[in-house]
Amino acid sequence: MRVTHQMIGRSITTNLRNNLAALQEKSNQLATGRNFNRPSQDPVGTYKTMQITGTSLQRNEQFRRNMGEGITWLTVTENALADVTTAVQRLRELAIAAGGALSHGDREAIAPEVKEILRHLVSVANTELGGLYIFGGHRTQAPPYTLTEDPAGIITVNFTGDGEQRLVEIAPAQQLAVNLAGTTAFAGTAFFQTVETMRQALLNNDTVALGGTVLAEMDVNLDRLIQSRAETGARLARLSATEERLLDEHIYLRELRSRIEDIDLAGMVTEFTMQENAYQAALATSARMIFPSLVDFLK
Amino acid sequence: MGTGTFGSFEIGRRALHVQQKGAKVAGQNIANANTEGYSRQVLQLVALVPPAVPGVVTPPGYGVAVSQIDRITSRFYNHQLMQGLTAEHYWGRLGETLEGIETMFLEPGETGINAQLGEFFDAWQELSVNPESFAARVSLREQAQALTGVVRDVYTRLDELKFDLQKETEAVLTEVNTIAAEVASLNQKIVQLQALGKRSNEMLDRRDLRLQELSKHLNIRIIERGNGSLEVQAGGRILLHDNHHYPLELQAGVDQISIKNNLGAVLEVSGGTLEGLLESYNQVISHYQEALDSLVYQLTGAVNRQHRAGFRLDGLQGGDFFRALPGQNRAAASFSLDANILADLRRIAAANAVTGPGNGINALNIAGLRAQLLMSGNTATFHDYFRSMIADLGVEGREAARMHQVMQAATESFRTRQDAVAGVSLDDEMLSLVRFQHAYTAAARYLSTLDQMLEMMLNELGR
Repeated sequence: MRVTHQMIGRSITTNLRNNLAALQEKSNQLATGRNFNRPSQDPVGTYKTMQITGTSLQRNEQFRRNMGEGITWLTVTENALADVTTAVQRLRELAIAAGGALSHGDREAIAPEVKEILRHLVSVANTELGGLYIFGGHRTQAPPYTLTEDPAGIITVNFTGDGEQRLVEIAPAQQLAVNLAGTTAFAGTAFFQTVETMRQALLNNDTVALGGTVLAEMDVNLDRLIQSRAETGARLARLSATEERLLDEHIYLRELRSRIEDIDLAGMVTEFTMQENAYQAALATSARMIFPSLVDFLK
Repeated sequence: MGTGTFGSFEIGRRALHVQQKGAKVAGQNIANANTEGYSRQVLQLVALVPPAVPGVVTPPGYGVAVSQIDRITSRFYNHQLMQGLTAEHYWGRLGETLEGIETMFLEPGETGINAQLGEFFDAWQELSVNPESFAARVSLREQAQALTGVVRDVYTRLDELKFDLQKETEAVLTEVNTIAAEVASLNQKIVQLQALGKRSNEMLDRRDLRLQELSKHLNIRIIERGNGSLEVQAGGRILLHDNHHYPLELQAGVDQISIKNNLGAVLEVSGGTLEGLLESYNQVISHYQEALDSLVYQLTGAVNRQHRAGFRLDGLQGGDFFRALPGQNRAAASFSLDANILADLRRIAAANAVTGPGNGINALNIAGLRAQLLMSGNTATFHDYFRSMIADLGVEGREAARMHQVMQAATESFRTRQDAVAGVSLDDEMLSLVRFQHAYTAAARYLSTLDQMLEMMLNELGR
């Protein structure tokens, strides 16, 4: 093939341009620390990182936030129930004591303590978490339990909540109730009614009721409490386990995304240096190719 | 003339003249070594033959004459180069559009539609956990506005890109018309010269160069006529013949642009920047806009349906969350929140029944739409759909970039081939300069020798 100076000039220009473009791309990758910044640079990688960013990772983070919320709710519920259990045990002791050989006056003396315990129980049943009443079911913004005492001294406890579950998603399509409504924990108002019955029995010196129905109902209450606490505990355990798993998954997802997106620094620096050498070699050869022609040698 | 002593002088005179012309051609070549489209010229010489007279010993001839100045070029490589340019510029222009669209979508990233869509669903999750919370409602509304905002922004920018493409097409057509007019006028001059038995290599070069430029814009077919003029066809129509050309203009229809000539005939343009532009306008951008429309339409429908099934904080049945859309066409352009939601956050229907403010089950149901297969004939989630769209964009962009590179290399190689034939080599020209210089010197010496011989004859013999 006939070779002209124009051809040499053109091919030098093309080669230098290509080399410089490659050098620029490498330096771009080095500067951004990413293998690709546009979908066309790696369509498959783009699809994958979009999936990780827009679905997996975001969802993981949201589930973890949900779970944090759930753990808070269940822990507060659990603490409240523990408090209630202690109180019920005290009531049970008092009921047993009152069923024994005591005078009417002694029994009457116990009644105020029972009344205090009842008030305390109602206040526990109205436990708030960030302004929300945790035993109210879905009716969280008003105290679910109200205590009223009529002129005859009879105490009534009313329930204005509902038995709905507060559902939180902890995994795709996996929902968990993070509350225990008053309907379950306290059987609506039955629990408080038992305490009031006990108080009335103490005031009326009704030893039969104290030794029989009151004690029996108290045991039913205690059983229900234990069952509720077991359930709350189980849910908490499930949340903790899932949270740990999600944390692992989070780390894994970030690693995966980094593997796809982020450059291998050592490799990239090597490639950059190689590209730089290629460019310098091209420059050096070009410099020697451009000048000489026959003109330089004819005299 | 010719024979005898004075005929010998004539040989010398012609030789001087011709060798000088040779140096002049070399000079012209050297002068144009860097002129784009210049084809090197070669002086063709012919020895003048004396008439054959019977019985007479053939005399040595009358000397030398210029037969013609050849223009060295390869029609084949020139044709290949034009085809290459057409393809290169088609892929280049298409790639430019795709790259522009890529830049608009900002994917992969934390601020694009993909991430915003995810955070929109997350905001519903957050609300489901805290349905009583105004903060969660505010954050949902803000997130929803961020999502609608980024979608509308991308969509509007696609509209703007279309507008720019139309303007660019008009500019390219102006250039095409200018070139066609110039080629037609060159045609006329070349025909006139040829009729006089002459030709101008420079005009032929100029015409070829202009046709090369034309082939960057669209695929052309060139038919040579016997009189030296060219007929150029493009898109199934005659673009120019002899000294006539048919100016092209843009025809804007509903959402589509096409190109017609001044007789009203539509051209089926193939290749070149023009096809790149037409395809960008008529297909590429429309494709991505329609994909966004479909996404927005389905998302609005699904979220609104679920939202209407829920109950607001005030216990009333929920209304639309997003502004209801009349149809899918240009849905993304009017993607926004319903005025009711903007007016009062309590109208966000997080509950699935009238139980209490702590009911966030409907919010959870809406968040659940993220995982439902509601796109592409119920085979893909919203995210899947969008991701596939971006992956398609990436694949198309990569293909265009790669093809552009390949065609660039191909034209480069055709250009080199053409250069190998037509390009000026300074070494060659220097050599031919030296050759003509020597021949000129020798011819001069021949004349002075003749002169001496004549002097000898006149002075010595006549004494």
